[in-house]
Amino acid sequence: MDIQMQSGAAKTALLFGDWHAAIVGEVVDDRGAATVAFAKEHAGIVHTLTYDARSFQVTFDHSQLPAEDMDCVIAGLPWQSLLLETTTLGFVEILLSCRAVCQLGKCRLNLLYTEPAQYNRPQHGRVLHRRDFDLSNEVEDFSGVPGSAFMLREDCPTRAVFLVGYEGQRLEQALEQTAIRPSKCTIIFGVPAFRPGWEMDAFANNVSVMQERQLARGGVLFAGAQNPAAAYRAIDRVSRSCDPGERLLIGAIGTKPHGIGAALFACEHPDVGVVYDHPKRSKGRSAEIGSWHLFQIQYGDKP
Amino acid sequence: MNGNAETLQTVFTKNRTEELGYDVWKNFVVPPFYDQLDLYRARKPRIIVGGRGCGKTMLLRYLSHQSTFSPDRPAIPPDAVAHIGLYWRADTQFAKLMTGRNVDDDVWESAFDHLLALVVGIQILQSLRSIARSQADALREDDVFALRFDRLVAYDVGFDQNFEGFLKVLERKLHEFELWVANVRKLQQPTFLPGTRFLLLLVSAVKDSLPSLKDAVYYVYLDEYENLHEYQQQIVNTYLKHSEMPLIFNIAMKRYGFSATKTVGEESIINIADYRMHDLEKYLLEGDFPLFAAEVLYINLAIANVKTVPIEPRILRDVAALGTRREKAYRDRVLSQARQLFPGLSHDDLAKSVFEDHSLQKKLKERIHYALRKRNSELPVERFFRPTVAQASITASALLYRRKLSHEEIAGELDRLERGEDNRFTGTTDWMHNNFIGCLLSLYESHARACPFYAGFETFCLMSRGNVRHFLELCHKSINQSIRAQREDKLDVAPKEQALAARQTSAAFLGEIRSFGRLGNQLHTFILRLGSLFAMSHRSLTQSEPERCHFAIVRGKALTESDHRFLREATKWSVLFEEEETKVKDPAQPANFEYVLNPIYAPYFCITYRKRRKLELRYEEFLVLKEGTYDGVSALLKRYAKNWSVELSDTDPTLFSHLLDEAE
Repeated sequence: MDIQMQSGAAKTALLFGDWHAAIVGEVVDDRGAATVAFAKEHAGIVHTLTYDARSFQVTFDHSQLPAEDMDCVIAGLPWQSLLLETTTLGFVEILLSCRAVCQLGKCRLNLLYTEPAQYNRPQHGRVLHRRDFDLSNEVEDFSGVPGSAFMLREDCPTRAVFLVGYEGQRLEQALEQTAIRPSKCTIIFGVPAFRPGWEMDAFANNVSVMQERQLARGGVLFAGAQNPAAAYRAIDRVSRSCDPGERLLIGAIGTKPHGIGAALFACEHPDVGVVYDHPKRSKGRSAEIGSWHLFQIQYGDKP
Repeated sequence: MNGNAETLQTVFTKNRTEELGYDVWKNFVVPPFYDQLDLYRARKPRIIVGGRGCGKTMLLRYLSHQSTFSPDRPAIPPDAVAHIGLYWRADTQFAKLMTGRNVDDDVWESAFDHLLALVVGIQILQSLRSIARSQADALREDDVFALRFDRLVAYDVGFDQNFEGFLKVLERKLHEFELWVANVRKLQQPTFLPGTRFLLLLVSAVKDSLPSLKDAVYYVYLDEYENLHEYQQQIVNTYLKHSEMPLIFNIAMKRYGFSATKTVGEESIINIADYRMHDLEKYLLEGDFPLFAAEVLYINLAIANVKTVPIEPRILRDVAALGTRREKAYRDRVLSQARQLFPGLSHDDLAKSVFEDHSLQKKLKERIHYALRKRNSELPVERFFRPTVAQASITASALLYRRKLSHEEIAGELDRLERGEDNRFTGTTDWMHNNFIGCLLSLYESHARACPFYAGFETFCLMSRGNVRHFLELCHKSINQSIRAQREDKLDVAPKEQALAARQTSAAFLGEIRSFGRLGNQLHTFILRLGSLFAMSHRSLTQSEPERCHFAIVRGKALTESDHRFLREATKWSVLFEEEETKVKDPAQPANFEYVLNPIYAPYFCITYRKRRKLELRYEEFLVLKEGTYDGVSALLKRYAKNWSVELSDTDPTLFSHLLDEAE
């Protein structure tokens, strides 16, 4: 598998040919609206895809079907020329789509992503701020993903790798809900971050969990927040360091490009387990659009 | 040096049982209520309940074969084989996949039965190895390796194996099963084993082949039952209902986790007839939590090679030694040393510490000065600012704002107190007893230094409220503070360092709320809002209702099902404690519940950890705290600030600075 990446401050900076089909997710903010509009402009047909974590079903356009049946859906699309709009698609939708494409063999897949220009930065210290008092959404528990799941057992050694963002509670919750041994966890931070200084939020919010649970013993790695190839390589490095018989579990709870890297790795390694908590993206969470990225994935030999 | 500094810093980080592994023999302290559990003669299943950190998992793992037959255990009593514990914490991220997905419900039910047969079956085999490799005389490894399992061939021809071969077959089946669950639409369904029937046959095969295990009883301990799907819980309930020798099922869960009492048949499981319930947190609180907490602390210090501990780890691990540990002399010795390690301050010393701190002194003087000016009093500040009667002086800073008391009257009472005469600061009126802590906390609010009110071994116990994990974290952070202050030569932590550690611990546990299940974010927001309301109450100038840290919903509409669910969730995760209401002001009202904020959050909000006064909320106010908009909460806080004579100031950043920002 080969990953080609291009990025620019605006969509006009990207070089591409139009696609036969695109798959997009739910639009919740201006970023999503802009990228879905881009997909509609440059793809022959645009499909929507959402995943329901409770029923393990996907809704593809208006049809509901089990998540594992995504390969049938993709096989029915012009998959040789397909765009995944990953700003709006969630991590599991990306994983299911990439896996379905990967199983088809030699092909090229395009993934579009736009960075946020800014986000609601968490505040620190004892003084409370307005955002501390704002309501937050109900969250799902961590659960396995069909096709990439195994059972965590104390007598069956498991390494875990968490790609983390600025929401420290997601790492805390992952450890709370799974039987992962903290000493067997590796953390991957998105460094360099989307913007200089943002990495400090990720450090600040995860460091207490890491300290409390002695996570750093499993190792800390860094991969550019907007770079799925770097995330892939970091996971690969962890995977190669596993002891014989040790299984690898991935929790992609950081940036979307890291999620893409994790999804691509899981597609190529069916023995890897994936857990995810499916956070609900709040409406209007980011107003401005940052850099545009187009990731081109080449499965099999290069044409 | 007393213990290795690095070890001291890390020994407490394993204060979650999950991090210790299955064999917890070395770290386990037999809890004081252990004999109440009546585990060894149990013929009925046990249901262990309690909040996070009360020791459920630790107890279950102690009862597992890995601990009973631990290589660390120097001598194992011959009757240990009569209780062979099999611990299983279902992996919920995986168990969740076992539903829906276009697979029939009855297939998933059989699949869960199969999973249980495999997991518990493997544990039964592993227990034989644990026994054989331990100091117990019951088995030798040769006995185990010579075992054959021909009798189980009825279930699978592949079971015609010796011990190692049979274990491998079960493990292979488990891997196949995992793969099938992950890819249920693509792989062929495995042949399912029939749950308990398979396990009972396995147990009988083992017992018949190994005479030394003829009296063996296997106890399955299923942890975190509440996280299973309802159909999975019903299957477990059926196992509970029909538990009989030599295979007894037991479960552990948080409070309110036992919502489904149905079985897969028509019956339900009924307390007493079918099981015994043990609430560990209740036992700890009703029993001697301080002694138990101190013992757990000292076993950790002993593991860190601290020499001067007042306990003998061997005794703490010995069930038979519970009586010795209840003796007064032992208790006094352990508690006395714990108090020396974490000394607290008396109220008098707390008051003196205000007079020894320049900025607190200044704040107190300003408060007195402002009260005098507000009521046009001619009296000088020095009439009330008296280091000789420090506690009374601090208390007076609130009394001066009360309209019903004249300033001269208060000054006169101070004079009488100073002269040793009857006065209202002490005696039956006892202004100091009722108001001092409230006044002290209001002085520390927004102060950079943590209030030493949160220091002291007993205080740590009160703030932990039966939660061993919270207690150990307070100790751990305190000892770390002490190490940072380069005073490793002796182990005691100054009150100000403890107070700082308590504030850090409190903030860390507050942040953790977000990870408490599906409602974690909402619970976190609610506790921030509620804590802020209590903190505001503590800032009342008059301190007419000091130390509010619990609430009841007394007026307005009835709670909805969603509200009950929310409060149940808050109680389940121990962010609130539910208690039957006391001191009902209107006796005509029906019995109600009151909700106490977990005292571990008190240092963060600089409020009391003592259950003193109640805040009576209208239903609509509760709703604002639970799910109101920011503006709604802001309006509520401002309304209470006015009612409670709280003056919002922009001189210091406080919990409420955002309210002032809003006003701008």
